[in-house]
Amino acid sequence: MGPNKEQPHQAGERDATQLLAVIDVGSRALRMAVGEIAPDRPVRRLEMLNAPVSLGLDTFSSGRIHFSTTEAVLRTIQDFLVVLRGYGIEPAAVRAVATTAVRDARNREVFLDRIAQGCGLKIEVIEAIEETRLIYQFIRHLIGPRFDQGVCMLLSLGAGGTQIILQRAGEIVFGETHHFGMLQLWGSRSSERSAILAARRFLNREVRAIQRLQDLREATSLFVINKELFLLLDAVAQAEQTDAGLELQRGELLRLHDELDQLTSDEIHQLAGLDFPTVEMARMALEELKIFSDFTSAATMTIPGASMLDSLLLDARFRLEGQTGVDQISQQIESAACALGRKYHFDEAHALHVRSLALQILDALGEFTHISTHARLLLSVAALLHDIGYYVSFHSHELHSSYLISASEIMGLERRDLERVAIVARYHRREYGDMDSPELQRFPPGDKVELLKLSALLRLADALDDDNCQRVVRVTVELKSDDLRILAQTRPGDREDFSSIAQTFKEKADLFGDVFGIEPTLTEVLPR
Amino acid sequence: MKKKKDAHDNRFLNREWSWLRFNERVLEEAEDATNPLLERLKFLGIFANNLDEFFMVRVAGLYRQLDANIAASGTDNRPPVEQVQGVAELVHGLQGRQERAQELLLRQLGDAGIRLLSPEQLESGGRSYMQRYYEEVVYPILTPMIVGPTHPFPMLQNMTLYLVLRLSRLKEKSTSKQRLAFVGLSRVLPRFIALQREQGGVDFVPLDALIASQLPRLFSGYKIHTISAARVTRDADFALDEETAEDFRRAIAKKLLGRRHGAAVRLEHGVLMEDRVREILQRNLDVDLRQHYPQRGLMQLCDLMQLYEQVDRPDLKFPKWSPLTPSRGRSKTIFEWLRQKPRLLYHPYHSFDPVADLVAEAADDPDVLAIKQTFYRTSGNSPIVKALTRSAENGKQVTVVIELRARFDEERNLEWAHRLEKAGAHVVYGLVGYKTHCKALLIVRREPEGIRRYLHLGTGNYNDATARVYTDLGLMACDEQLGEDVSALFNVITGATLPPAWNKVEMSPNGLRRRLLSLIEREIHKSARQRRGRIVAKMNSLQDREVILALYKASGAGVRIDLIVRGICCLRPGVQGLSENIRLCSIVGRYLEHARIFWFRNGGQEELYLSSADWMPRNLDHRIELMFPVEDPTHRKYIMEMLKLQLRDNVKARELQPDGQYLRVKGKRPLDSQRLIANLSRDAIGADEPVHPARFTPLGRKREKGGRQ
Repeated sequence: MGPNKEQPHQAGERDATQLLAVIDVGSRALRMAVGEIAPDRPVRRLEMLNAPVSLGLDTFSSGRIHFSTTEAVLRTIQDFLVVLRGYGIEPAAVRAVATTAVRDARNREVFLDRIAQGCGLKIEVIEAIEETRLIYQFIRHLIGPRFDQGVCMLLSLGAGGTQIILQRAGEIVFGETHHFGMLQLWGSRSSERSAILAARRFLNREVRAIQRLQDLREATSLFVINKELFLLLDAVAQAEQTDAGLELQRGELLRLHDELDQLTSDEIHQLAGLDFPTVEMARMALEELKIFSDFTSAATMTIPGASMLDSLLLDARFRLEGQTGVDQISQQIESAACALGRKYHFDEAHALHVRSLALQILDALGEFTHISTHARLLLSVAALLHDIGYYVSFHSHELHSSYLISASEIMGLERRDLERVAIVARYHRREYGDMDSPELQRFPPGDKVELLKLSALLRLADALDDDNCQRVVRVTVELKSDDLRILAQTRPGDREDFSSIAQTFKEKADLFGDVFGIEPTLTEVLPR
Repeated sequence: MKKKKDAHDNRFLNREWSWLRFNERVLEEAEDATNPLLERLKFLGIFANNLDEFFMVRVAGLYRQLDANIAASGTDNRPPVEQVQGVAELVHGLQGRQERAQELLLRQLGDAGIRLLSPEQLESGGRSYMQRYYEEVVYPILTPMIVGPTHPFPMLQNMTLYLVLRLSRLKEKSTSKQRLAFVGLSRVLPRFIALQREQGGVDFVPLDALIASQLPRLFSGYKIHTISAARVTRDADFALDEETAEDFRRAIAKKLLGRRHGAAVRLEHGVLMEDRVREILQRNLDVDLRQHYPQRGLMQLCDLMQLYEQVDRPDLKFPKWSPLTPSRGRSKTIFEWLRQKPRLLYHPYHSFDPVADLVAEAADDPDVLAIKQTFYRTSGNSPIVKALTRSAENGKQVTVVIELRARFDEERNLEWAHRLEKAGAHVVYGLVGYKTHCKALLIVRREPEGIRRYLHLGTGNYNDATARVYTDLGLMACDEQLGEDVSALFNVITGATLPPAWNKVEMSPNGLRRRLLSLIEREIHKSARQRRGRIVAKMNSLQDREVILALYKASGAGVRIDLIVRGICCLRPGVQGLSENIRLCSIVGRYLEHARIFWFRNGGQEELYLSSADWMPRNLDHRIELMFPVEDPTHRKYIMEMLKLQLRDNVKARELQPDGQYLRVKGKRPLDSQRLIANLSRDAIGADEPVHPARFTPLGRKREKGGRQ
């Protein structure tokens, strides 16, 4: 039979599916996934590659990535790119992210530059909190509505760090990243026994410290992300395989923990049929899970067989499909910001009110402000956190707010964004910087203007709740060519003197006048 | 005096001796009068060729062990010296039989009108043709080498037949000035020169006889006292420091040059060679008496395989078998055909064409993104290599894993590597420390529904020539999970990833051994008095201690085990208290049994696997091998029927006895499984699909190699 060729598929036909690729430059391994997305279908994984590298070992022992490791990473990425060429995917279309091991390396810029020069791949170094967000997003997607019920704890046990999220009825009440990962926990002890005992002591101390900050006992369900642990449990535990992953009862966890505790890693390697590094990482993860579970009320725990790659694939899919879930992400960020505010005992009512007023003014001004959706979110977060500096001192609290924000993490916000939020909070009262001020030097000119605009809006909103009593319930705006009137509707039955608010408003409208070129005036609108 | 205790492990048979027993079965085919005459001659050639390779690798290895003073080696833990002695005894015995068979077959060949003559025996026309042939073709490339004061003893090349002369200058009278001369037979010339007789029939003149007749002219000025023949077999195994070899291809090429000059492990010479000549050879080649193999009749019998190709006498060969090609029905493309259901091919009963077609169609298909394939051995003019070259030139991603360490095919594989690289293919040579022996082909195609992967997994090489003589199974499919596994396999072999958790397949060196042991163990657990566990496994060689011990344990637990092992077998079957439930047979016939099939009853949930791996340490620990399941019930049923037939074979099957001997299986009615399977295979292609014979291409001029995996 001669070759009777099928007609080549038309471009239109192909549009139904799209290929995407993600690379995770992790502490222990480089991993790559190639996925295919199609409407109404979960991401189909076409390829999963996993090549060991010693990035974590380098960074966590010497603080630098060795030249030989860089070259090994480069060779591995080149191998990955060959696989991608088989799918017609170019390096520029790949999202490659690096986490702790690269993030914490002193020579990370040299490393990133070598990879970019060597194979054309640009690696994005993501913050720990972004890792958490990606994993959170994936688990939320994987588990579905069940994830939003009750109080649940999400633990992501990475080789270079641990992320903890506590969620109540779908709202994040606590989110933290700790710099103890499986690699650091394993450390360089003389024997595996001493390493495990040391890790156990360390973890007990750390989790107890977390417990002091946030009551973990209310968590009734536990989701744990760690690929090595999943493999170990899959091999040796009596766990139920569900759509979400392995479901393990606490009793079984304790039994297994005690049983494996009696064995050497070599014996576990024989028993589970896993390679040695996997066994070591899984043991540490099991240790950490056991200690965390001791502090919670969770009777069952779910261990999805997912990795960072699955999270990246889902995120890439959302990006490609344009459904980044902006509203949902904003809500998550705001709830994480509130959790941070609570940590510093903020006046939640005032914070929420200022946020609401600031957004009302911004939205009412519409096109006039030229402020992006993302900047709107930063304004919201800054409004929520502008007063947390009171936790430190009543004197110059805006300065304290600023550095507290800078030193914190908010899931969904990159470090760059947090720096912006810190600036906006810094300028919410008293003097503000100009385009040449040192605090704004590190931002590009466009960003500087935007930050000043956001600060101006926050100053107005804060002035409207000057007495922290939420007397102004609604604001509207009347904008004419050279006249901007802010109409503040006060609470029904409010008989308090409005003049102090008006006075503060007048004082704090200075920045608005500077950046928008128009001085707003405030008018009280009495409720009917 | 304390008696030295025999330390060897009696539960196992010796690997080297077992291999010689296999070659004995090949020789039996040459002796078997029911086989056509030229086929018998070819079996004799295969026997000799196998033996050459055995000496170059295995016997050389034993001598290296002797040099290193290794106390004991092999599955049965025996001293190398004992193994060497055993090998020599067995080979001498086999050689005697080979000489008798040679004499008989050449006589019968003569009776059939095909004569092997020396030039002097030809009529005048023939003689003058030979004279011309010698002058124009042979003489220009002859290199006579005389040993003398200024010419030291030459480096006799591996596997080259030499005429050895004792001669002296005509002017010199003193016998003390006598010297040796060597004339080597060039491997580029055919060994047998054909001459059609006017009255019908064909005469062949061996090249060595032609040269011998011309020696007085070649050595004019000398007096030739004696002429004899000699051939040296050298250690051809080489170790390569793979870790440090920067250019793997170049390193292999360099080592190949060295193969010609390894230590001598065997000296074959004509039985009439004078003692003094033999002693000179012995001294210069540094061989001892155990390594001497005097021979009667023709030497370098592997060349008989050339003779087989040269003689066009279908009446003296096996009747032609046209492999069946499955009809593709209404499918317009092979891709459509494979999307319908997986397809099983059993070569040589089924044609190899669908596999070649898959690559060829992929090469020209605009939607194909990538083609990936492993190569261990392939044919001289492989259509698959051509299609891959075209495909790479068409801009598709072609990834080819070529095993440069495939013994005795290294040179040929270097050629493919170079050719494909030039065409733009991504050529990789596998992993350091592991030979890539698995047989896998993957095609990635972009279709409206998304990426689809088409694959072929097999038990035998991608070699269209051997696919006509080796029995091998291949599975072609468009299967999501298998596709994912095969994709990952290529990523593993190209060094891009660690082995993943497989969906369906199992790979060595990482998991295949463990999986096999657990499958055997499971059979023990599921074995009950009412329904005994059962294992049927077919392979080329069974040598692995751990697997054999597991089989003994299973036998002890009542599991019935039937093994079909063509070649080496270190398991001792049918021993009370050890292996009474194990029966083992070997089939050596027209086709080289090459498939690896493992079937487990599994308490009624039968599982059947195909694999590229034998149950040998080298396959389970040092090679990249694959085992994959056959899931389609009709395919499983077909393979099982085939296995049952092989277990009942009483024509080409020999049963292994507890003492290591193989005895022919007796039966009332003769049952030749290879013949019967041909009929069964016709049905296997699918009753709903009419079959038609494939286009039949006569065997190429390249010789077929038997007995090689």
